[in-house]
Amino acid sequence: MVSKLSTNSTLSPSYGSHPTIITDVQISLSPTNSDTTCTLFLHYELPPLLFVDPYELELRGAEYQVLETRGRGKKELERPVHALPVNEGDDDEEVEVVIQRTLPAETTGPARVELPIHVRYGEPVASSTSKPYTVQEFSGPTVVLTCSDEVLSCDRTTTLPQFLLDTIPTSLRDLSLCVASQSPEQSLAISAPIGNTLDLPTVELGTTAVVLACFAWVAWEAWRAGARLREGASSKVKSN
Amino acid sequence: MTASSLPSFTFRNVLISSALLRVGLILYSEWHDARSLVKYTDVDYRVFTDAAAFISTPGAGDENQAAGPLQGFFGFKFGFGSPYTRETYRYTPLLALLLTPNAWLHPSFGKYVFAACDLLNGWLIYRMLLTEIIPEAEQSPGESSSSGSGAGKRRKLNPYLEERRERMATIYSAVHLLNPLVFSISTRGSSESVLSLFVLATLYAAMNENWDWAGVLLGLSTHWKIYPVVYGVSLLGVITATSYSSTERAKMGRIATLVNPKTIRFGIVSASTFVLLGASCYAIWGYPFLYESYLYHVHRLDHRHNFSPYFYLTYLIYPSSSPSTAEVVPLTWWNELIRSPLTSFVPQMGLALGTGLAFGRTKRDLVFAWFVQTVVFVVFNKVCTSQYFLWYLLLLPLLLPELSMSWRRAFSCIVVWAATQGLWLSEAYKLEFLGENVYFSLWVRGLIYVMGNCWVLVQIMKAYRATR
Repeated sequence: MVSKLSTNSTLSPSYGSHPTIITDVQISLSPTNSDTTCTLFLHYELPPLLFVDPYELELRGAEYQVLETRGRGKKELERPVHALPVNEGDDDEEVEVVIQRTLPAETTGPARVELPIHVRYGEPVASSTSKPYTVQEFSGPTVVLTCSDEVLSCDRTTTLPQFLLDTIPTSLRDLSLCVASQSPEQSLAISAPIGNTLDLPTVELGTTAVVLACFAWVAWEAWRAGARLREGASSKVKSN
Repeated sequence: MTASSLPSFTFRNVLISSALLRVGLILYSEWHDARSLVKYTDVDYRVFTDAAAFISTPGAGDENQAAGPLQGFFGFKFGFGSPYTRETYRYTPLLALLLTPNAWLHPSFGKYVFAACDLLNGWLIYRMLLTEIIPEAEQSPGESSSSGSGAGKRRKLNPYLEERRERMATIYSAVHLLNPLVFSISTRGSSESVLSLFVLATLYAAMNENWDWAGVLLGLSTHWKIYPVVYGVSLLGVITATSYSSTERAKMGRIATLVNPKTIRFGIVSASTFVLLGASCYAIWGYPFLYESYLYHVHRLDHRHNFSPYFYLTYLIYPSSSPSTAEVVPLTWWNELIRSPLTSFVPQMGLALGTGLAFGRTKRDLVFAWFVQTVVFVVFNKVCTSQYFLWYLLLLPLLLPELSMSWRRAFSCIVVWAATQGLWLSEAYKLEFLGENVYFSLWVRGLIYVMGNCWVLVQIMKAYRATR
């Protein structure tokens, strides 16, 4: 079967806490067998600054299925990047996600896959610019195409990550595969604001001062209100 | 046209309208969520639903199993899964149990439960307004009806007064039932209305001087979420005021008004309920229940932006899992003090408990005491999201009859309360969706939020039972 595969990924938007990796996979298939089904696998490797919500991805079940996720940021969804636990197990630094999407037999044209991701708070730095940012670069997904009962003619030269190979179902793993990935020059990048540790003295003092001042103010007014109510109750007792 | 001239403005019709509104929104949420990636349903509802599914479908072996010491009873195996298999489920397992029909009956079952709790809350507010609060408020600010034993006596009233009271009670309860914040939160699947029901039921029992029931319900409320425990402090004085004659109370010292046989009994009932519920849940679900429901909240560090100004401080000093090998500058005693949890805990609990003791002296002042306690608890908390506002907004309709302030002052309070939130939200949008570095200005707006809410609270305290 003649087949072509190429991929192009973008990040939309390239700022904010909740961007989406949009991957357009250009596929050209002309199967010899009308019962052929083809499957796309996309393997994402995300740096610790980024994470996916697996429960959110379940809601996209009509578009694709998440086969597997792993990585030390997989569960600690609520921590900043510098507070992620250093695991002793197999989890690597990066979060890896493999998703699967089934395609109709005769597919020509782009197949779009959208993966929503989220940005952790980055590690604060001491910055004289007062508003520091960090720019995190990462690669778009590696895309694998496989079709049942067909031999794909595309040239496969890219080495597949072991996690991806292990995740592809055995029945499909032995078939011929087409692989495509984005070139390093086309890596994705997200800009994320980070805290400035030079703000710390001001923030410490300001928070404490305002909290204590408001505490004293409310306590004083509460005492006055209580005294007024007690005086009113005493007046009533005397008049009775 | 005024409310009084509307022929259909009865509590029954307000309740029916509220019910239809909620049913309509729940049906809309199903339609909307099926067609849009941006869901109407709150993320929390998915957490509850997943946790409920985990409870009713335990896994094989050690996977998704209740981890408590009590796995069975006289040979009968409970066979519960664990709701804590679901990440970020940090609530009592009773909530997940309540929502188990989400899996086998209908996915929106829980939303209907929350909406029903909303309606029950509205009814409780209406009853308390009609039977206790409005009659009290109609007296002069310094007066309070004699409580005696049992519920307040009801005199035969002229029909005009009865009608006026019912109209006012209907209007104030409509403030809750038709509050967009209230019905949107429950129809989106947030469980706040369940806790609100327990809190209002506790208050209702207290208003009717059913102290054993009030103790049970307070224990249940505190099991559900910890913060209602502060209400116990204000109840002590009220129990004494309603259980002993003025002559007996005159002989009591301040300590004795808080610690006497009646209040001890109340404390035992309340604490026993809390312990029994906790022990039962621990017996079945074990340490994960203790940690996720209670211990996590003791040690949690909320570094992500929220209304509380503490977020930025927490973020800047968040401990790293890989500390730098650079020389660490030791903290001064001043830094240690500022960063100590006590610096936030003392103002918050000091005010929450202190105002409870100060205002919890008569049954008439109970709503005011709880309102003030709740506001200070929320405002001085180290984390604050919009859902927390429901905790005190719930009590506002019950407080309104006792507030005397000019329309201009009332309008100012509403504007300040809303504007401080709007000010913060507009900046938070820049951080979260535009990726702009506005941490410092967001922190400043958090300070403004604290000051603004304190100002509103002070106005309410001044207006409470003020001389007209």
